Amino acid sequence: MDLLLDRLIDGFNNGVIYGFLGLAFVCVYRGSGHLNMAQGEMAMFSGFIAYSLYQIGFPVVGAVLASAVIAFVAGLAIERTLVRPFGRGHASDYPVLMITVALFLAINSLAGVIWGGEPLAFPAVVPAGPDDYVSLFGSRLRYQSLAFVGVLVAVLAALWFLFYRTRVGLAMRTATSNPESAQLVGIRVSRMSALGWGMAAFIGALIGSLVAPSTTLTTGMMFNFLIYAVVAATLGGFDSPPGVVVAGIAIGIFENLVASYVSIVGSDLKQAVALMVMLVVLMVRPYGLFGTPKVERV
Amino acid sequence: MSLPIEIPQGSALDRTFRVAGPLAVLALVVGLPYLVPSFRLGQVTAALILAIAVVGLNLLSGFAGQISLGHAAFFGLGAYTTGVLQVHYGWSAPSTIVVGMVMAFVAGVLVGLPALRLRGMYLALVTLAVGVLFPSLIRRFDDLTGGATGLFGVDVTPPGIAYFSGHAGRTVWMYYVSIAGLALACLVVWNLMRGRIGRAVVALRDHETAAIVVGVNRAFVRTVVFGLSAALASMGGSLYALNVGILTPDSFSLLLTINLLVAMVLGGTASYWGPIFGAFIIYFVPIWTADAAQGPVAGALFGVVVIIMVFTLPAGLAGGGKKLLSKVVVRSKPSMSGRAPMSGSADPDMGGRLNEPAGV
Repeated sequence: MDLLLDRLIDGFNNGVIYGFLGLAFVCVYRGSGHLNMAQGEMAMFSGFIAYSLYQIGFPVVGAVLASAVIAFVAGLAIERTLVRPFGRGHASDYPVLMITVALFLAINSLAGVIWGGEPLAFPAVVPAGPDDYVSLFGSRLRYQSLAFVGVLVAVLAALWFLFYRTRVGLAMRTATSNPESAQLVGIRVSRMSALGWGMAAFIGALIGSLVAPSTTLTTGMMFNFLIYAVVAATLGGFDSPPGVVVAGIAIGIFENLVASYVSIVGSDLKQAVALMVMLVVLMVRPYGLFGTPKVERV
Repeated sequence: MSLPIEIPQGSALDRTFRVAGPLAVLALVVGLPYLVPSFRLGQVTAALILAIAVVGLNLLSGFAGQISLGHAAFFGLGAYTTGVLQVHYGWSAPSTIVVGMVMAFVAGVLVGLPALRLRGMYLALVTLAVGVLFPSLIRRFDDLTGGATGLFGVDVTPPGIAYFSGHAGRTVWMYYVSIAGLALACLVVWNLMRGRIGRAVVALRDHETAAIVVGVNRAFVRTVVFGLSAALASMGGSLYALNVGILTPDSFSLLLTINLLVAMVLGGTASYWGPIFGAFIIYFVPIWTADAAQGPVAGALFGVVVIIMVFTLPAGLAGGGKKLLSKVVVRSKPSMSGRAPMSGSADPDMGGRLNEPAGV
């Protein structure tokens, strides 16, 4: 029983990260309708920037927030210079995908050039000693993961507020669902797209800094999460922030339980479980469990 | 004389060029083993093998316009089919290549089925899942595949001629085998794209609904192209297994897919020579930049170069080269007025988008 609870909590902790990074995909998708393969690398790079800011004397929280702001600006810049020139719609899928793949390579290598290949110890925002946990029926809920959940809830609330209670959010939703009509009623579609990329980079920076204390800061720290975040975003629906978070947590728990209790799967095929879920979802409901189907006129 | 120089179509000069071109390529192919040292020939072979996979990817992503982030899996399927059948069951190399291609064709058709309902980003996701799944499956079934430690002892036995004996002879043999494989792959794609299916493929890419309206069997064309593309990648994989002798799951990770994609884009999407140029670039440029710069710097530069290429040469090196060439030399139409100008039959340009100025 205790073991089951431990496994549930483990899965939950991972799932929160998947869902969180999935949110970044949602923002990009809502902005320009693309898939940013470099999302994880941007998060990793922001983590390194936060580390450097901390090194030159910023307080930890200040360093994290400052790096998130830098990431936001960088996200805007990337959208403006590397994504927008290709326009929107299916014709732009391929070049933008190539651009983000190239960004993936470039950012990853650049981090290696600047900070070297050695893993760095990232300062924890909340106490992360061996005794810093809340006991729950004998299982440990670490402060670290609680803080992560707290930030996630805050971001989710902020996103919901933005999308559903502000004019900018309404404009963003309009721009995604029907760019041409949006433009006709005076919405600057390209600005919405930039905003989406900026927000995604901002969220990514928070994740990078929050994950780093437990994974250590390395150039490869986000590889694994990237795949899972894509799965979470697919399962939840690329246009549904709460859906993606729920899906991320569900996947984290599900894969952990399957890997623990189904012997043929084991730890080697843990990722495969998540990917199979994604394949099934794409076959049956490509717009995700909580997403809205996209109706296209041809 | 002002540029571009005009060469009338069908003139003696034009015919000379058209014969001289293939002859020069043939001379280079046959002469290369005598011109370069053995280790360099081995590198060329590796690049040729990569090119086979890129040709396959180009059929799917370039000509048919369907993004694949999972071609490393089909490459790996071929490699491991050859490896397992040879090491565990003692099959001869040629038969394992055929079995691998058939398996990859079936796998490609299966992956192509969801692709019928999905396009763009969602298709990329399906193929990404397949690509990421593959190495973990190899690790899981380690009693057959050797798992993370690798599968050893794949080898090729050249025919018993003195010319192919010894280590150097083996390198030469693998070189010729790879050339043959690449030629076969190119021939398949070339013939396919010039025929009825090829026109259907391009029509589906450029305007799906219109293509269906004029009677293109979308499901058939899409899945067959997916299967063929996978089979070609698998042939590359089988030759890779024979060439390197050791297979590890990490060789078929997402990184290989990214390399194949980058090679295709650099060389020229939806062109016939592009994949070959691209494969050589992707193989040799890192070797040269590794001498000039440290590892990560080379990687960063590489990423930047790809971004610049996507912007400045959307049609890749093949397209860019062709454009440059057309500024120097053009083949003008024959001036006989009675004949209808039926050009384009041998023109490799049909890969270009029908309704857009530039490809990609």
